[in-house]
Amino acid sequence: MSWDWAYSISIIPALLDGLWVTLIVTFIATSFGLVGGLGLGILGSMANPVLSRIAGAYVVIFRNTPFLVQLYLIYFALPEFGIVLSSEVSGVLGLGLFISAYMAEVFRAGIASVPSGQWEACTAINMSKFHTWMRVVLPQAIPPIIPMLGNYANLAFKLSAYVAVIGTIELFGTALRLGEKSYRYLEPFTLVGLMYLAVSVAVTVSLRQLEKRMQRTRPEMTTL
Amino acid sequence: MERENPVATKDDVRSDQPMVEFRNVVKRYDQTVLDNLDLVVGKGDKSVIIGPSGSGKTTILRILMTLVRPEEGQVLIDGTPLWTMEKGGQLVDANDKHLREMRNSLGMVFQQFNLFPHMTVLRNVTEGLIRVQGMSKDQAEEEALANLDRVGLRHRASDHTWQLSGGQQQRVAIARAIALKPRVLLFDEVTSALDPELVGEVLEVIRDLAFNTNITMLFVTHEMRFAREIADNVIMFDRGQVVEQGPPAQIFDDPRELRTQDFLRKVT
Repeated sequence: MSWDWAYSISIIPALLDGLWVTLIVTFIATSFGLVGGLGLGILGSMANPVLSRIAGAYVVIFRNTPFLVQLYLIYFALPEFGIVLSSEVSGVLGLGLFISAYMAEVFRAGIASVPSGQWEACTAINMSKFHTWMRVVLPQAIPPIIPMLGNYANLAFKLSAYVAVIGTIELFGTALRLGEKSYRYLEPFTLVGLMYLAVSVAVTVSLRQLEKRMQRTRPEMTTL
Repeated sequence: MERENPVATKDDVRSDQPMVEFRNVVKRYDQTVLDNLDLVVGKGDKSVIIGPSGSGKTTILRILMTLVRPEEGQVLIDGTPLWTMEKGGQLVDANDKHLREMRNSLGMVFQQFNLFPHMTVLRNVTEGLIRVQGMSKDQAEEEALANLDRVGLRHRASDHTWQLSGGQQQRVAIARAIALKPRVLLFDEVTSALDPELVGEVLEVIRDLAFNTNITMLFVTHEMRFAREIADNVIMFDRGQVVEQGPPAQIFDDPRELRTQDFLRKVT
């Protein structure tokens, strides 16, 4: 079997459609992961032992079970409890829940890196808890962890291929279908691999640029 | 520092009335740090706590600033219990609301300054005025500039804190604290983290506040000459208790207690 250029070119539009779906899935799941991860990271940093343990348990469970198991539970097992979600919603939700567990740890580390003196200064000027978080702690906790959060967004991008197994036709799913139809796997999966590679490398490079720029503008805030 | 006083302070007239009181206060970490501490600071008084390092002097200030909770005893600010409150005729642990009310009277300057590094000098001072006291931005900036002027740093208002020397940063921290008009201001070894040549400018600012305001001040410091100069009352503290206290002349020149004599011999 040798490389078929004509076939390769003919499947590019379908693959680009798939890439678009992959990017949407990644974007929504990452946004979900950021919000969930921030919430869990804040809960996990609280002095209240009940709240921080709940957050801790979530992180342990989602980080120590295979993503595919989580995905199957959401898509195939939840309906038994009357919760029926479409393949797309299950995929985005599953990926978001999974990545939020990783991001939660990043947020928690970022929050822990804010010196205790900052909290004490807030108490000394009688700031409310809410303002302490919003005005002092999070603005210092988040900038240094942006590159790490970006890495997890990049991981979510690659993990999104798994949602094909529950029937979402994104980039990987498109290649699967093409393969099944034409019995050619070399071209679709090579092209798909190149597309993942191109996006992922672009993200990695821009994250590195961002990191460099942050180090230049805020010398004291990139220590973690 | 001869200057018009642009910073209005709550008019606590100097009196023998206690502003701060510790009654049988106990604080334990791994070991007992405050051992049934009794301590009184009069309204408007400038009191300096001296004593061996690691003896728990800073803990006294941290309990007053509500940063650590004592295990036993009572702390009163102008007669009101700090760590307890009355609820249905019973004394219960203070809740957040009570602590926030009490903190309105309190301010603290830290050894490590603890300025907000992501904010400009001006924002460091306006933040409390806007978020805590509900001032408008314009009003807060005017107020903040007046306070920065008092510590001689009005011209650095738009700089970032990390562009300032340690001494300047500590002066901003002082401006941030006095802008909120505390009735009790706590100074926790505020010159200990500074290079020796920067200590003077900070002490100069504190001298101005000590001599020209009615704020009750409580210092923990190792600057004995400074203590003698500004203190109304020197408190020798060791092993969780007050060893002796009195005017600087008495404590420094004629200490009664052996432990005070020992300590002063070592530090001077």
